[in-house]
Amino acid sequence: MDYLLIESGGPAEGPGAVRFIADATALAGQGASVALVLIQNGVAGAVAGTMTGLEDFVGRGGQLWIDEFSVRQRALDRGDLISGARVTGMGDLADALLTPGVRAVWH
Amino acid sequence: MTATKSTLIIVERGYRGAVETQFADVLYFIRAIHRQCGGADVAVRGMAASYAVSCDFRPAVVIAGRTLDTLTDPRRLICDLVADGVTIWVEETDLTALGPSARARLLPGARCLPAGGLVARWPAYERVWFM
Amino acid sequence: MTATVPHSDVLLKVLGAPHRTELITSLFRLTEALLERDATVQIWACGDATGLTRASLGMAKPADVTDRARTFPSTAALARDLIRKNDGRLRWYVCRFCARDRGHAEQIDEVKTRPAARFWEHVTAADQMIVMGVC
Repeated sequence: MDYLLIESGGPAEGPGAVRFIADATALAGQGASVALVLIQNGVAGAVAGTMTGLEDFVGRGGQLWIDEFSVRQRALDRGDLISGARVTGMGDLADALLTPGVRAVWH
Repeated sequence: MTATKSTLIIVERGYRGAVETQFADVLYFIRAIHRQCGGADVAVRGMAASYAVSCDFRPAVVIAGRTLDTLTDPRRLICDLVADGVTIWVEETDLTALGPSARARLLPGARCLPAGGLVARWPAYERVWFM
Repeated sequence: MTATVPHSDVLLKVLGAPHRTELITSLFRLTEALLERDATVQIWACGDATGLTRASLGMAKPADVTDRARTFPSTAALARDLIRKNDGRLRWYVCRFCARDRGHAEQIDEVKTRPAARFWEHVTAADQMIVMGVC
């Protein structure tokens, strides 16, 4: 993994979140191995059809992770979320952070 | 692309409290980080992109008879960063959002990138922070 | 300059304010997950995050008037517990400038205040770092 990108604001953050997802997509398109984690309000972006940029990201080979705690806290149903995502826990994020060479960026 | 600076700091959120912050703006701390680490660059986007656009306004407010003219002056801080050798990046789309005249008023030393130009430079930095 | 900061696997720099988003919840969750993996962790708190461990918070939140028998830990208590229970693997630092600027100069004993000018020593003492939140 080259990049661990974490989006915490989601649709409520407006253009900033859209842009960060576009950054993730661009990095994936450049050939980098990118995991994009949606956490906190960021998980709202994973509701299918909400942030179409996420589909582009997955289409470019990006790994989309969605924090389960945040999903459940917000009463989202996993069946309503974008396909192609992996539902993860904080342990997965910690493991990624402890991987040598990963660049971690929190938005 | 060879690395020239260790850290890229992206500032998106602008205008975070001129009265309570005054000199201690995020750019003030970024200047300190640049000095400590030996090399940082700054990208301003969203509303913070306006920090790199010149204007004549020197804000001040009067509170209980005191004229508080030490409000945050981001443009002066940008100029200080440029003088310290920091590259200030701004994307074209952010300038466009500030109006047709913004591009022509870009502060000296601020460099304009096309849309998507900033993320293309991420691999050149050891670390990328949003502050 | 001689390094004075012990090495850590991860440095978490946290800037955002409590009571606004779930940033602080994420900070505690991530710290716990890292410590569970036997990692060594530094936390550097800046801005309003310096208030998480201020002494004036005390160890408990104000009483729940509907249930006075229960106590609820403050963030200072949670931080203290994490630091004490992890055999020195968690070190919590607070930016002195930010703490003073926000009236949080008095911190719990388990936390160290550090001058902002020494921040980069903490970065170079860690294998990995992440900046969480903005002021």
